[in-house]
Amino acid sequence: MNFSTASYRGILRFDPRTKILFTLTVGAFCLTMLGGSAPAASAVRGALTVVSFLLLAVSGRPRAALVFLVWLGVAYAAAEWLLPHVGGFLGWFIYATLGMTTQTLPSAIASYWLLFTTTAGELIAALQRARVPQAVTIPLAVMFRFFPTVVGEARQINDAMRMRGVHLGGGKASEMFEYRVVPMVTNSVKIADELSQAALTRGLGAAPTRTSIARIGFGWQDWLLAAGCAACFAALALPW
Amino acid sequence: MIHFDQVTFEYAGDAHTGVYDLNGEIKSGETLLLCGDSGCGKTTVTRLINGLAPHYFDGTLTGHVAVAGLDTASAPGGLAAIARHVGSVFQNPKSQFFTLDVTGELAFACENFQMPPDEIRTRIASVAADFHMEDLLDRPITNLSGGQKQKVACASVSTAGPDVLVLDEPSSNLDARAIADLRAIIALWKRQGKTVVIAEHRLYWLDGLIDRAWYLRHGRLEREMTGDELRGLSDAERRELGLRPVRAEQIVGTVSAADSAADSAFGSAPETARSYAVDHFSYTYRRAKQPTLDVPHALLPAGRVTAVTGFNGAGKSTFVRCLQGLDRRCKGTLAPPAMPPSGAASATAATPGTDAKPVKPAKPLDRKARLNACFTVLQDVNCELFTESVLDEVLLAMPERDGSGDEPTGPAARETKARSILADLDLAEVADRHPLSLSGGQKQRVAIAAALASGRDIVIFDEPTSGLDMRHMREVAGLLRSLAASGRTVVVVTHDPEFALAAADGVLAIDRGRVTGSYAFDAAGARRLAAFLTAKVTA
Repeated sequence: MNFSTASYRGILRFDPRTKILFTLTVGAFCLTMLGGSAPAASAVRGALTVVSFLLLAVSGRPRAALVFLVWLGVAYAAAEWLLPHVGGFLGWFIYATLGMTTQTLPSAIASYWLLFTTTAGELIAALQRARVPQAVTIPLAVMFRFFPTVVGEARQINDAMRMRGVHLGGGKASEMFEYRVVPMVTNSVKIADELSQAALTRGLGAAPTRTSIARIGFGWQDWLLAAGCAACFAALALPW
Repeated sequence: MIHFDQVTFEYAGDAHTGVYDLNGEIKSGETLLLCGDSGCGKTTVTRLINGLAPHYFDGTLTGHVAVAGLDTASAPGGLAAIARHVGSVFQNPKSQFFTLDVTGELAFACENFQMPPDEIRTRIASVAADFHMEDLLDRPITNLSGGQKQKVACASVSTAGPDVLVLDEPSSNLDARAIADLRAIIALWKRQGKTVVIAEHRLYWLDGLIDRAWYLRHGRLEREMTGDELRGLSDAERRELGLRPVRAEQIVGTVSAADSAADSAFGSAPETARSYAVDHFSYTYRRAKQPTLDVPHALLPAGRVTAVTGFNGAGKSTFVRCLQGLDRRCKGTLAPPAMPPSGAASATAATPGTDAKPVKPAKPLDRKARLNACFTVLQDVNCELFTESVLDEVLLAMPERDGSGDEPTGPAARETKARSILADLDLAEVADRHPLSLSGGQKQRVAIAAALASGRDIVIFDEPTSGLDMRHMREVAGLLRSLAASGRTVVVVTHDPEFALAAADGVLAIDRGRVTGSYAFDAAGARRLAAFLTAKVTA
């Protein structure tokens, strides 16, 4: 999981806050099945799924949208035509797989859209505008910054262990986990320490708030999408 | 611009050397070099200027440091107030970025100082133009080379427009091209009238930029030189001070004087019969059509030290990863030499920790076999210190069964063997200490001890000298030479011409994933290498 590093410059630009709201709405209805089996909830789920696909497609990832669409289509087709003919354990297994696929896929699409159209800087800027304090946003920024570093460190440690014959099936498997933690922790601490020095010498914490060059802000499309999300929740109150 | 008034700083409860009785002034627009051995207090002086001492590093400060009229210790606003005047560039490109993309990084300091977004954008554009790095904007920082990262680090302090710039060993991880870029940046700052303070070991690339140099020893300012005095140091005097070459031409000069490397025993091209043969090495990134590395054939003379050189991103590290057999995508084989290295057989038997292997036309080693035939000492040795004591570190690398089969292999015998390896590397006293409590140089020697204990014939070093002073660089070079003398085949990746010439017998030059040269260090070879690895220094 990683944020985009170049800001999205396409036509449909949303504020990160709107994107978060949309992703949470999709998650609430499709993933956690808010509204249960009420017909209104099912309609809302369908609509959210379609909108997720459209957003992904028009935001410059038509191929990814297509892949997700085919995937979901196959899942629904299998549920319709294959499932009634299979029984026993296999039937249960297929049922569970399809259930999980149809339930998680819309959220996966929405999250993917959120991640690849948003830079870490935009997200942090949006959170700052939402008056989230620096005590939250700065650690969050450091966290995003840390993922790639930790992956790189882990790779080097892995190399060093393999040279010593400490790898799965290398006869020293028990040491594998024990030994990995030590350099991982010490290196992360060292990097974090140096990172703090660099950040402090560049004025981090100079003022209670920071400005940001991230171009964020609400436009008509944000109001539209937010209104849509509100409508989804309002639909729950419908009598049927 | 910067005043030191009877300054003494001692780190709280720490082995680091502080700074003692420092008096002096750095004038506005001046470029000052801080030089001296590792641990002489150079870094501490930079920290006194940017305020990390005493604001980040605990310790006792007496006397006064004033930067742009601010007393650094008592300035209201602390570090952040100093940060408006002083920009800092550090050694390690891995840990001085706060964001994921270049543009965000350039904006970072300005955002902290609450500049209006439009002004920040203008500043970024102008700094990017000054630094010729428009093409880097918006790119993910993790994908940049070390040289590009250092450029971004310099640019990101420049956007906030500080009057003073402090650089702590900025060239340590850079190749010749990147060093030339860094030189251009410092020249630009000089033209802009900035005050620049640089702590460095590699000095030749600063020739012509230094106005004054402070030579420190044991935390004290021992000698002050003008730029011309530094340039004019005789070779003997310079070596006495433990300084690396201060002019580019001295690099080749050192070689012909110390002829350890120029060995007549092997001619201009490596001898096939006494060399490991690399065949059909290639590495193709996922989704890439063309291989990044493509080496149909190359020779690594057995029992010698071969330097693998080239620019950042040329494929050196990929080559040694292939050699070590670490990546599944690496294709190709390594054929052992048909004949033993000349004069090495007896030395091999005499060295503890070595398996004397019968040399017969062995079959080429595939990737998995190479994993057990080579041992790489990584650039960041912290990634290969796993255990709770130095001794365990060596035992971990020692194979359970000895290849020769004629030595006892019980735990006691293994420990004896490990201790003797440690003694050879001057680590006997620290055998029971925790590896992480050691100094950088000692850690590196522990990794080398592990390599020796592994009993493998090929030892690979990935950039072993980044950030070493002359004495330590010569020590490492000596260690590599003694490994070769004991019959090991040593392959070392390096950007550092001074080190390559001191340590290696020959070179394998790589550019854009292809071998572009393979030659020994006779006088002509040495000059060729020095010209290749040394940044162009034009006044």
